[in-house]
Amino acid sequence: MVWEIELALFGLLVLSAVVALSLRDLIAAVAALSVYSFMAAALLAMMGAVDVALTEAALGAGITVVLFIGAISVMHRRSVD
Amino acid sequence: MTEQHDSIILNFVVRVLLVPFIFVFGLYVLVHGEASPGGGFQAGAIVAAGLVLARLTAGAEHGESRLSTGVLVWLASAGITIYLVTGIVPMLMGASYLDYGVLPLEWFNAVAGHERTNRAMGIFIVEAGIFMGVFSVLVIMYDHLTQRLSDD
Amino acid sequence: MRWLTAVLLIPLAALLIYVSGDLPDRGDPDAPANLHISPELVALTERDIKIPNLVSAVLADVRGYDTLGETLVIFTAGLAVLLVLMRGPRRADGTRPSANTRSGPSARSRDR
Repeated sequence: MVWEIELALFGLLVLSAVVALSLRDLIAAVAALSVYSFMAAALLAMMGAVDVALTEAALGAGITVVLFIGAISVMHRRSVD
Repeated sequence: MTEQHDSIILNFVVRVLLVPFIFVFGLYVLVHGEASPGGGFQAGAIVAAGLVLARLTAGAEHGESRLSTGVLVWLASAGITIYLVTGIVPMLMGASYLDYGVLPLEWFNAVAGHERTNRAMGIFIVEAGIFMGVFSVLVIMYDHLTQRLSDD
Repeated sequence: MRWLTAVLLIPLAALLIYVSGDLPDRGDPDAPANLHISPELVALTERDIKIPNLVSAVLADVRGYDTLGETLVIFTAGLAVLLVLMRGPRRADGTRPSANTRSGPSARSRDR
């Protein structure tokens, strides 16, 4: 039962990473990156590394998103490549 | 991102429901860092996330006046100093740097009424220093990134 | 360029997936990573520190010097953010100094 959940989480992890890379709108990319961080935190918690999962959830899915959006809103919103 | 929001629902949910819960959970993670998963770094990140959430809803005018950058820089420096002094005190007592085993903390067991080794209490002191440092640095980063938005 | 990337990366991914079958199971007590120094750390925590959280014991006591450097790195990052993004004080008429002199310690000391 556990490995199916982990497989689904891992699929969402890879999917959100690909979406974050392919989006042109940087704020949407930051939202996808937040999903990536949360999936990584859930996977780490399932592996038993709860300390790392706490850090990943608080920093990766919480603070980093706010800092990214703050940095993006003082420059151009769209990526050029 | 830095303007004040007047929505009653937003203010109630953030100020009454979320932020106090996040603060208490962060302090729980700090204090129970020795017994359950957690520690200074995680607690600092959680409490800083709560404060950033409060500042996002309160806006730039009200947010920064309560905990200014000067106070935060002092707090971060105090955290680092706590860590360094906790390392230096065992050197003065004849052990090596950061060897908490010889810290003069036995009296605390009599006051608090539980059995803890010196090393466990040294770990807690160090974690408190890490907490202050990480918390202040994260809030400083948020303040100065959004300062540009509110000034222009 | 795209097909070259695919030609390089797909065999690499296949190789990594093939090799990962030989890795020990997660949490295997007989894995090489769990045989060398982990038993000593567990014994040291039970004997000297007496706290349940092994991770905190290793991070803050056994590897205390490492964590001190980590905290100093974070502190330095905060100071760097302050120095790069901090603006000088407002002038008497309420305006900020102009754009190319508005940040950094030299601009602030000149304003005083």
